[in-house]
Amino acid sequence: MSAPTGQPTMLPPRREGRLLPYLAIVIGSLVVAVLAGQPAVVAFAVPFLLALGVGLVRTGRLPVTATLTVDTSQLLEGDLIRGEITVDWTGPLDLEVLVRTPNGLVGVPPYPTRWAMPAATGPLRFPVVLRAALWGRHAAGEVWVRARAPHGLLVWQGRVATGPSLRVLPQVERLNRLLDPAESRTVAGVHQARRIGEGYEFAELRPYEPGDRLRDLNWGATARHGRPYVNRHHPELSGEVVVVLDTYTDGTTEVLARAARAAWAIASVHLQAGDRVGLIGLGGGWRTLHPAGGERAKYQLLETLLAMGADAMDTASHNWVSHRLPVPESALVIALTSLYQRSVVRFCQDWRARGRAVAVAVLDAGDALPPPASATDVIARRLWRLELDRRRAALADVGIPVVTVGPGGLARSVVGGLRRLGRSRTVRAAR
Amino acid sequence: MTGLRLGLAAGSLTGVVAANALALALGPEQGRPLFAICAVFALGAAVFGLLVRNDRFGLALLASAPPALGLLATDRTWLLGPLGVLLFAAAELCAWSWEQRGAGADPALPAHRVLRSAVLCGVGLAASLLCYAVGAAHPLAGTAAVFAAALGTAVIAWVLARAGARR
Repeated sequence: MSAPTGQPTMLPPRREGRLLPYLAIVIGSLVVAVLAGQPAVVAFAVPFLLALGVGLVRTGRLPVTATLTVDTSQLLEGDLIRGEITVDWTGPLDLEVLVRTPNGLVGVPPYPTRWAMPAATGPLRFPVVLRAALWGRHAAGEVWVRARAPHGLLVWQGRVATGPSLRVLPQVERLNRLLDPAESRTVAGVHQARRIGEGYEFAELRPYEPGDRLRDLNWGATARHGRPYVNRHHPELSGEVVVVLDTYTDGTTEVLARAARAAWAIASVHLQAGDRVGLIGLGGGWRTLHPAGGERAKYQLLETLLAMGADAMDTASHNWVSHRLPVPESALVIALTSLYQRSVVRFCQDWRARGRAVAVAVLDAGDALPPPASATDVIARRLWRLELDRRRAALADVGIPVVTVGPGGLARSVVGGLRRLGRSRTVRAAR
Repeated sequence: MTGLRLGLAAGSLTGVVAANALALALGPEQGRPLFAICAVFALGAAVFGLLVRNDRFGLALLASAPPALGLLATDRTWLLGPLGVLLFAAAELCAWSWEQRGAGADPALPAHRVLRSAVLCGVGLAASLLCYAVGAAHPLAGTAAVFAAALGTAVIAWVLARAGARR
């Protein structure tokens, strides 16, 4: 994969810090020498004059052609990307090449992301190895160049190439259980409906009525009672699930990574089961995807998830209110959040008040923090933990089941925890 | 701050200190307090330029000029050229130290970079002494002669460097 290569980038020259002082010393000394009639003053300025003469040999714009190629356009979190930078220019230059990586990509020690070459001539090639640290759609780095002629007093600096766009997918977590949607739709699926109909799950036994299928006859009950009895079944239907992904971040990527893995795992398994899955991102820029099913929905969901990942590090505030969000009344809302933002609590409470079934999985990334450095740090973390507990309690008070998700078995613990809580408190909306 | 950058910055600071100390020690006594203030300012500007903003190192050069020019009041005017070279070398070392910023692990000391700076300083010293000699030998038309010699030196350097760059 490579970024589109075009015309060479014309870098304008910028003066170095030495240029103006050298000029000032030279002009000042020559003026003083002439005015005072002291030839010795010129001798003081001669080294600076010489440096000016040599340093301004090369002026004007510098054409630099550069490309950044990588070996893949799609990869998983944590995967390595290998690529190559090619830089070309004319004449000998002291050259520094730097790869600036976006938030989602990081350098991999000991592989360099900066190279410095004195008096080099082009073209040059540099191997690059980066690691995908955060899911989302990211550019594979930017190539920046800083060049100066040997002894030069001018610097040419700027971005000369941008890498191709990469799709970094969240790591896969396997799920073997589903959450129960609030109300099943009349589309075949694997969820057990509350009402009785055609299906495989036994619901009740009742006397035969005209119209019942003979295949539903329960021969044992019929023989015991002396009249025909039939089995009734729950229909197996599909449901609607809306995954709410809170991408507010404190600058660390661990919570985001865990949230994305859980969201993707939950969404994938529900899509596979025939459910309609939607996605709402709360974060820098909010995004929504209406619930849909099938293969196409899976790709749309992935694209939306990647776009959220790209927005994730943007912590700019936004001004939307929850009632604008398109959450179907029959959908189960699963919010994956770190609870760093108090507004997320308000949104969940609001959805609940509007009759939606809401469940919250709180992503705890406390294990990703470095050990506390001081007693103040310990107290601050304790206070923060209390605040998070208070927010959890605010959710639980309105009947929203809340589970805390640690680092291991993430998505499984979300589903298991919510199902367990759902039995005791219900994940279904009160109607 | 890497080891190489620290060494280069220390060398640069030493150059400024040495130039100012020499100028103060060998300069005229009557203007010494004023020159000392300039030297202290130069020292502060050099430290600031080395640690915080490289483009502020020029202030250290400009502040060092008065103590150096104070030598005109003595019979040691030949020292102006070497002092200029010393300050020039300090400025080059400062620029070099800033080039090492963010370099990560210390790269090997590039021999040709040292050679290049040494050659420039050596040529500068020779040219400045030559200019002084021309001025001293022709006292009647000294200023004009030195002025012409200095400009001629810069032009020749520029032409040679340009030819070298094209080659």
